[in-house]
Amino acid sequence: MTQAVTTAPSNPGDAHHLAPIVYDELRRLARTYMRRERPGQTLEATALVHEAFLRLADAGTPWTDRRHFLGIAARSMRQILVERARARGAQKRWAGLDPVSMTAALERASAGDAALPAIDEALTRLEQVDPEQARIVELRYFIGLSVEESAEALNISPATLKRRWALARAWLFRELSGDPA
Amino acid sequence: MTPEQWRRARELFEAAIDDPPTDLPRCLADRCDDHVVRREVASLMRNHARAGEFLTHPVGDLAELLEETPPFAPGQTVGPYRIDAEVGRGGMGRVYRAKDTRLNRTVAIKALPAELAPDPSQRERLRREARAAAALSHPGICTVYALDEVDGALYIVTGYIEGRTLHDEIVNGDRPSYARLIDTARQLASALASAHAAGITHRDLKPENVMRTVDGRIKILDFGLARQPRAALAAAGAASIVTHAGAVVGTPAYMAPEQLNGQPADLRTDVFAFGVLMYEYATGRHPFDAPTAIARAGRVLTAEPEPLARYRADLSAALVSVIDRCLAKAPDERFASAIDLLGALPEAETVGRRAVPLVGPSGTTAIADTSWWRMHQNRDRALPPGRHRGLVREGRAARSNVGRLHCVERARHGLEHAQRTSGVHRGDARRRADGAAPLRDADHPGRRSDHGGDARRGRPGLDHGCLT
Repeated sequence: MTQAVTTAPSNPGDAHHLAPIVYDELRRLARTYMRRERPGQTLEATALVHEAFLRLADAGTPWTDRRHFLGIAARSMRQILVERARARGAQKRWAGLDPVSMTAALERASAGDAALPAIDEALTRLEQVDPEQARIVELRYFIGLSVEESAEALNISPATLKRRWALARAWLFRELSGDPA
Repeated sequence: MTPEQWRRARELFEAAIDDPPTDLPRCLADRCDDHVVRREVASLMRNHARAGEFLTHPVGDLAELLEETPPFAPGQTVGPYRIDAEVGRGGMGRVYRAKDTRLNRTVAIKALPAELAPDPSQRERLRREARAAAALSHPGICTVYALDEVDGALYIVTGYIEGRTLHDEIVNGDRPSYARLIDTARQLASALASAHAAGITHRDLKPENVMRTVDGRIKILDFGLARQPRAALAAAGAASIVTHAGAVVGTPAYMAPEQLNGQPADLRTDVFAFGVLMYEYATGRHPFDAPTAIARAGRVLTAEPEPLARYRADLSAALVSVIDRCLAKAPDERFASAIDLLGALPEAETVGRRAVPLVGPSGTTAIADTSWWRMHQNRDRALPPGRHRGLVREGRAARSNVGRLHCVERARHGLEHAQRTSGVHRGDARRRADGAAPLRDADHPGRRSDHGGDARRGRPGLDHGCLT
């Protein structure tokens, strides 16, 4: 008989080892959605994440914490989308733009997926300065949570979140538009 | 900038956007005497004003961002191949049935979707899959014919296998007989052992990736996530292991506890997946079944499966204990590799209360196996009495997987030879020669002569320790 050697997670509150499942579930859901896709319908990240949460979080599972889930979902979504943009040659398209067009595309949020790998790299640098800043960007931009939802996920006040979100945008914009500090 | 300076800059920035001062430089000069911090705040405020709509709309339509364009269309000609139909879709590619027009044979072609085709890391993964599968030559592993590139499309050409996956059989509600179960387990373990002997971890073993051909032969498909030992990677010129740290690989339902805990996979991870797969195949139930993926992962980490005997009272205690051992939570408690696992699996003909004929519902398999062995008769040599037991002992003690498999094979060949020359039924011969300790690997070759040859020439083998 199997030896009952239980390697439970060292800290029951730490659900990071479950990130692969969230990632997998998001990808799977995205694929399912796309098969059902009808013309003119858009698939929003937020809808996907909410559905993933409903599916994954049920009683008696290791998920006790919606906050934790959202953090991991946002990170997974960032990973999925950036991987895909890289695969489509986004970096090349982005590098082909001159600085003026680049800045204009950022200002008007019209770059499509071309800027995603560049945003991801800048975000990694920001993360080294201030990890919370990167979390905010993942929640707001990559899974489209509102100010209130993001604030709740990070356990800070909406007013604080709003100010820090402005800071993250300014920091990243400077990084991407090549403005000397 | 120091963390303290950053904290200060953040504070000043937040105050400034809450209540924008008319004269920012003066206001900063009044509140902070560190010029590094002042300069940072001024710069961030300037960019705050410039940023426009930057990041204000969440990332776009996922359907568009995640869209995939099939690499080929039915009827299309790719090099010498004519594409017939799409027959499968995996995590990283599409699989087509195609005709090799030069040799007039049917092949399977796996290629990346157009969006992923230019990505160097995806291409490297496909190359690695081809190399891993091509490094193995075993009837239970799909043969790789070529790795080709046409107009930027990279694809693998393999043998086309007609049959059903174990997943199909499980979903269909087919419950295998005991004889079929043992046969499937041995064939699968044998194929996996050949990969393990070469130091290759499959890492994504699941019922969808195991196929039974129309003539009963089990084949492992999809080495897309397989990992070769470092030395082999370096020899193949791969710059790095493609899956970067923290990236997610595998299929959650078949992941071992250590994978779920973010630790690296090794041969024992495949052993766990083998256990999950066999349990599910035997009973039609996942051993850690739960309504959601997340709940299932929780059970993989903490729960013991329902005893197999509850669903299948007809299984021998030996088979149940092998599957249980594969499912141990701690890797150390499992078999060290599929080679040991294969050695521990009971034989179809000797296990259980009743003798199970080797040639049964899956008899074609046994026949195919035998014919495969006969192709390698050049290695047959009669063994002195008792020598095969010595070889098995040697095999168990051998430092390398290749060495171990070689010993086991030699012993088996000796027995086969004895059986043919004496005309005694193989099982009888063995029981007579062997007493209570049967040589367990007789049915299925673990490895073909090339690796046996390596061991004979004394080339260094692969220690378990370097396989992760």
